[in-house]
Amino acid sequence: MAEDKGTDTEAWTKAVSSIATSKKVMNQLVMNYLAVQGYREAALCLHEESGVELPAHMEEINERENIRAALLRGEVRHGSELINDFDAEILDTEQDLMFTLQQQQLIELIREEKLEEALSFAQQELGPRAVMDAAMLDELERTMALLALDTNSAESDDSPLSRMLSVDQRLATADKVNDALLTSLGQDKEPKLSSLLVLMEWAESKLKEKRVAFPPLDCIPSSI
Amino acid sequence: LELQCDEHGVWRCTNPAASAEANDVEPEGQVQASDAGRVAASGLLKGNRKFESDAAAVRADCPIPPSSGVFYFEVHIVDKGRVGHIGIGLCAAGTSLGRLPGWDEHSYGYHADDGFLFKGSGSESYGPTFSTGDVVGCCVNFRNNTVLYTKNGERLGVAFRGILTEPLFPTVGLRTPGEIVEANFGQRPFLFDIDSLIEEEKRALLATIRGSALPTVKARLPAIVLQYLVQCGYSRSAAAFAKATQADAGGAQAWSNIEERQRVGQLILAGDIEAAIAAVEKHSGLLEARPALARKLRFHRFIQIVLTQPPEVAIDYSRSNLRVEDCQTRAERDELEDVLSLLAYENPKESPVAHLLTKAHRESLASAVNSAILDYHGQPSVSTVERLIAHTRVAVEHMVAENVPAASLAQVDYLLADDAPTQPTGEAAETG
Repeated sequence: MAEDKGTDTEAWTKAVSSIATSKKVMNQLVMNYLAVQGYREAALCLHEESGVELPAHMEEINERENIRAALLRGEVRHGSELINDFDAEILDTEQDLMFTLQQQQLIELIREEKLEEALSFAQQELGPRAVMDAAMLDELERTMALLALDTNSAESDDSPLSRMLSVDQRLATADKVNDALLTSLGQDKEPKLSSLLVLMEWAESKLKEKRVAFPPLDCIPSSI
Repeated sequence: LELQCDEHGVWRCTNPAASAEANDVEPEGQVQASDAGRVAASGLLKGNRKFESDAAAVRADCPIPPSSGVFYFEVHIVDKGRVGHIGIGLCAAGTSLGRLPGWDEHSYGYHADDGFLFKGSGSESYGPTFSTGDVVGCCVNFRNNTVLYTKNGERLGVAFRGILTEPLFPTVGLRTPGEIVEANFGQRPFLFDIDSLIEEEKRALLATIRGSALPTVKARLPAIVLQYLVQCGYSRSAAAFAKATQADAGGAQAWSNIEERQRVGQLILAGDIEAAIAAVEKHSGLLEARPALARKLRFHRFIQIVLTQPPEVAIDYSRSNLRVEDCQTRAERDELEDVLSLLAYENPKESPVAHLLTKAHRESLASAVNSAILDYHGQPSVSTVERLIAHTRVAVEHMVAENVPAASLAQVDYLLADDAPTQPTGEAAETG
């Protein structure tokens, strides 16, 4: 199987263009995403504007949205309080989650240049936790390296270290928290849209193994 | 197929006329003349002596396709004959058909008389014996490379692992006079609930696929969702979502005319085609470049007039605006006829052309107009979500065609279904 078995790119593109999906199905897919990720207001608007059904548990979605919003603003303490309101035990039972939040807290302190507070926070809260876990220790060391960074110039360059200061890091933390909350509720933390994307990538990788050529799904926007 | 051994040691097998899928029978050795569907393979039993080599098997014509994911067939023991020394299983091409399944390498079987599994290199106890009246099924699973059996609708344990590395054929072997079996490859309903097992496997495959994904996948979704909301014209949803994700609103190209597109869509859905047309005409040249869409709008305008104004106005409008000669296709001409016929009914909502008055009909126009405005401004008129779904469907089809193992289990429809659960059940996790 040395040569590529090129499928006709045109035939593929034509096949893709000929498949229509109903608006209702797509609206449901997006609503499912908004519900799982906890975007309550957007879900309400989508319900009004498209007529697609609202998910169940809107109140709980509201709480998750508030938690996410707080974390996105960098308000880790406030976010942690909301998490405790939502689930009193989760931060005690999920040590990884607690560490992630504290790490984010450390990052925010460094960003605000409250360096003394950052140091004592690291020593009192994160250090004791990290000595028991190699991965956590790694993360702590990476985060501490931020202390040496000039935060003003860091935000404009693209190194892994400065990415810790970006909104992407806050988003990742918020996602981890959301996943943990959903898991503790016994709900699925994977939006169908996410599974679809993964399925596509899996199918593409299998086709590449079989040396089948196909046009890429162009214009997938990269992450914000 | 039906395979029988008579007292002279002659094996007969018949193909039922209505045999659903591929599997015709390929008997070995001397094939005696047959009338339609009846094939006799030469018998191997001589007198009263039984040698280990004295058996006869039949093997299906086509190997089991790996892309099927899960393949299942059942064998009904019609009569155990003298001893009931029957074997059911799988074998590779070229294995001897004078042997029971599992007696040789590349051959695997579950035997009725002792409930043992045979797999070339040896045998081991496995499950119950089976006899007259029993139905034994063989389930081949390409997702986790296992084979399991069922007896009378009940699942037995996993029988073989890791054997699906070569093309394998369903096979049945008989040994003593009077044995009669009947195989079912799906031409009749199965005793075992194979559908539930297939559902479990789909879930399990999905879980495995997701388990292998990188965390960066989720990070790409906000942009895809925002693009969808903007493309559809859901202005408030898009604004709320952009705010909640701190997205760069200006980055979504179609943002600039979102509210206008939404307004036009709402006008159309409300049936106010006159206002909608006026709004669209503000984009000079748009309708001129799209005569088919312009005609569609005029059809809908006519419908609006029929519903709201006296018939004379409608007729007047049709004379100036709806001309058969303009129609480019048979379908368009038919549609125009339907539209014009509305005038003939006192109560159009109960007429054969009532579908023209439905919200669904207007939704389709709204969607077409929305796409046209986007296209006119050089913006993508099909959302990434829609293209993602279509691209994935096509990719899965190609996987099945390329015989990727278990590809048929990866179904987009299953994923999109309303109640498709996304956690694997306990049982699938066990066999996985």
